[in-house]
Amino acid sequence: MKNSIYLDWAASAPINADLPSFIADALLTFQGNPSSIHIEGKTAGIQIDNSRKMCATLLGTKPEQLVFTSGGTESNNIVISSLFRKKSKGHIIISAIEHPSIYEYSTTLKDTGFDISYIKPDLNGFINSNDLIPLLKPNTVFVSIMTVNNETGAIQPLKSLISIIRNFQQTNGRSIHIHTDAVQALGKIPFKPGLLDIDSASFSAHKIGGSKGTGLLYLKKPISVLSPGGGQEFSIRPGTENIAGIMAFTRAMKESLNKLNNNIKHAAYLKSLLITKLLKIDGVEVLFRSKTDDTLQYSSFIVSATVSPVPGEVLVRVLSDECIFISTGSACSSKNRKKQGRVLIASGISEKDAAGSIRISTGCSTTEENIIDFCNILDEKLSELKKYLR
Amino acid sequence: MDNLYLIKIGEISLKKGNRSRFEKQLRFNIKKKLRKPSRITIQKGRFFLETDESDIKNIQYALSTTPGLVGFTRAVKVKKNIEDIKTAALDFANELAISYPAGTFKIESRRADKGFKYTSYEISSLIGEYLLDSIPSLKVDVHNPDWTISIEIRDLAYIYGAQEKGTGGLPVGSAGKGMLLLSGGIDSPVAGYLMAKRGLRMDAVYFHAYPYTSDDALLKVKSLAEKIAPYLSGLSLFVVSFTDFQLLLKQKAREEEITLLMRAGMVKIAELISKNRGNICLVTGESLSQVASQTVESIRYTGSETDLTIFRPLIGMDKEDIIKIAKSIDTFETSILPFEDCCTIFSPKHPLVTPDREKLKKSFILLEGENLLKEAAEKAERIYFKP
Repeated sequence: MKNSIYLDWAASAPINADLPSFIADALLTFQGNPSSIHIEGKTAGIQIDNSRKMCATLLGTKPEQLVFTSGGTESNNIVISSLFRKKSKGHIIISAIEHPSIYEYSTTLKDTGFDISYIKPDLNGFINSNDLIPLLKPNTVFVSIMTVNNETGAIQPLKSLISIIRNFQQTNGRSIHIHTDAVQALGKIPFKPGLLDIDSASFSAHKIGGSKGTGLLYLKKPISVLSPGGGQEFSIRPGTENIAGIMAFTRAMKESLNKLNNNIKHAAYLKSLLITKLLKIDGVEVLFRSKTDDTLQYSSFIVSATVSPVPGEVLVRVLSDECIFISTGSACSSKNRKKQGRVLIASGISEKDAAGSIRISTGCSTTEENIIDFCNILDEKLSELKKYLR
Repeated sequence: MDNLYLIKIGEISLKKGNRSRFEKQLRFNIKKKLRKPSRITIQKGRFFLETDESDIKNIQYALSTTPGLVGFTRAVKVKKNIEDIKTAALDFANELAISYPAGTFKIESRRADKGFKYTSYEISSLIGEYLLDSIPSLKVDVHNPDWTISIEIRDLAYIYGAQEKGTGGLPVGSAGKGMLLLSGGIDSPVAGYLMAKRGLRMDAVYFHAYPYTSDDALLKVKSLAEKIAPYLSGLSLFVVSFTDFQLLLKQKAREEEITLLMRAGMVKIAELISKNRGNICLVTGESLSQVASQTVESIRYTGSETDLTIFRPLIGMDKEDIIKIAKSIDTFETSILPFEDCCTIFSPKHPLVTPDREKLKKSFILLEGENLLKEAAEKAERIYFKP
């Protein structure tokens, strides 16, 4: 068995080493239903309260502004589906690089009477203020812009975008809900939703070493949701809570945010090494790197590249056979090609380059050796594949 | 044996001198699907299946997926005694009344044994009255009933419930053996199903081009093979590694010719495997003009690269009609899973639509791919799917 090299942290980070036993202990220790009024239930409930308080401290929010969910997708779903509750429909702005859990709601929202505008990023992958201003309308009620894009790694200029929206809101008089999907921001950039003038933000545990199936939703104020239930999580996300998952998420968040600066520094070093090496490989083009402008901000944990004309999907399979795990944002299927490469194509990447795109994402335990070995094998496999493809 | 079924045959009944061959094949195909000992007897053109198999759903699935029978119905046989007939009829009525709580019914009686003391009309009246007394919510409707119970007086009294639909056609194995070119799409499983209904026994071949196509595409094809296997009375799927030949095409063929030369390669491999399997024809899911490789000229070319006859049962069908059949045999939802069986790099932007046959035949020779094709055929992995 070859040693594996895991470079797909943006899809899912390996669980922190201490968490499996921590989760097992929590599962055994807190078996009551947190909604029960007996001591077993109360004890379980206290764990959730404590976790919420800790997360609130880490994220700069009030505890009651945090709702535990099953992950980023559910957090996004809760916010966007709450729009269906609105009596008067209005105008919505969604960035063209949103996760499907937001973007794919467009058709249903349109069908129910909402007017939707899509805001495209520029050729570097960033949503620009100049493009946002003309889209704002007197009846705009909702804007969703991802904090860090999972494919391009572009860190959106949220502060300036928020300020434009709030200025417009002040003049116009109608409040606008600002949502951000911050799944790739947590533990990767300094990000405290409580310190930004936003209304909601989504997070996921397994992107930062927590367990899958746990997430968080920041809500500045409670919203009216679609799914009724037993009143858990302030009735925003009813359903018996995943106590062990929540506790593990909190622990992972604490560790991740405590080490944030070191982790970013480590990732930035690896990214620079990776890009230097990738640029030397014939047939690889690094996408979305700051070529000329140092003010452009990209996640240190994500590198997007293209190996076109080799389909990214094919390279991912070949590397997988070598126990190297990366991902692709696109697929070489003839059907739904546009849908598969939507984010990259919206960011100005050609369809051909999108089909050849790969994403390499690192994390706290990625080593320099991993990067060097990956690049060597990539070089070897790519030249084999290219031999056949004209 | 506990369970009795009356099986109605359709087209077989039109056969004359060789009818027994078809009947024997149908008997064999049905028994092959049942897990427990079974006996099939033929009386005056009717098949009676008696089986120890107790799982009614399994029996019904086995019968509904066996080409050669048009319908079947669960039956019981009792002594020629009106009280026993009443009891058996009530059991059926109670079952049927669950589906149609305020339903209408009819009793149909036939008296083959003229010595029985009641006439057909009298049997129907007596049993009908008994059922009306026993289940007051029922009503009689002799013209348009929700369900019918049939009673036949022969050596014993046979009572049948509702009739279920069969596949129709002829029993698999009664019309020789062929090779189905199975892709992950909607059409080829339907083509296999339709040819099975004409009595053709089949192997199937799938061309896998890993890493250019994913293993998910292969899993999808295996799942399709599993779904059509009952209709085909079982099938062997040959998985051919097609990557090397596709790469040869990419290197040596003119881009616009790749699709048709690839089709020709597939046909040739299918023919090579067929030689060892006794297959004398190929079956494809081609439908005229559906895609570039299915124009008259394209089909004429690919057909010319093999000595075997190619059956294309979908050739004149609209896609909507093909989809209807795919849904009826439960392959549609699997076929539309997004795992493609051909990577876009092997799909030319502008494939030939009206190819020159002779020119393409020369192009194929210039590829010098015979050894690759032979090797691919020899190394094909065989996976058997039971009926």
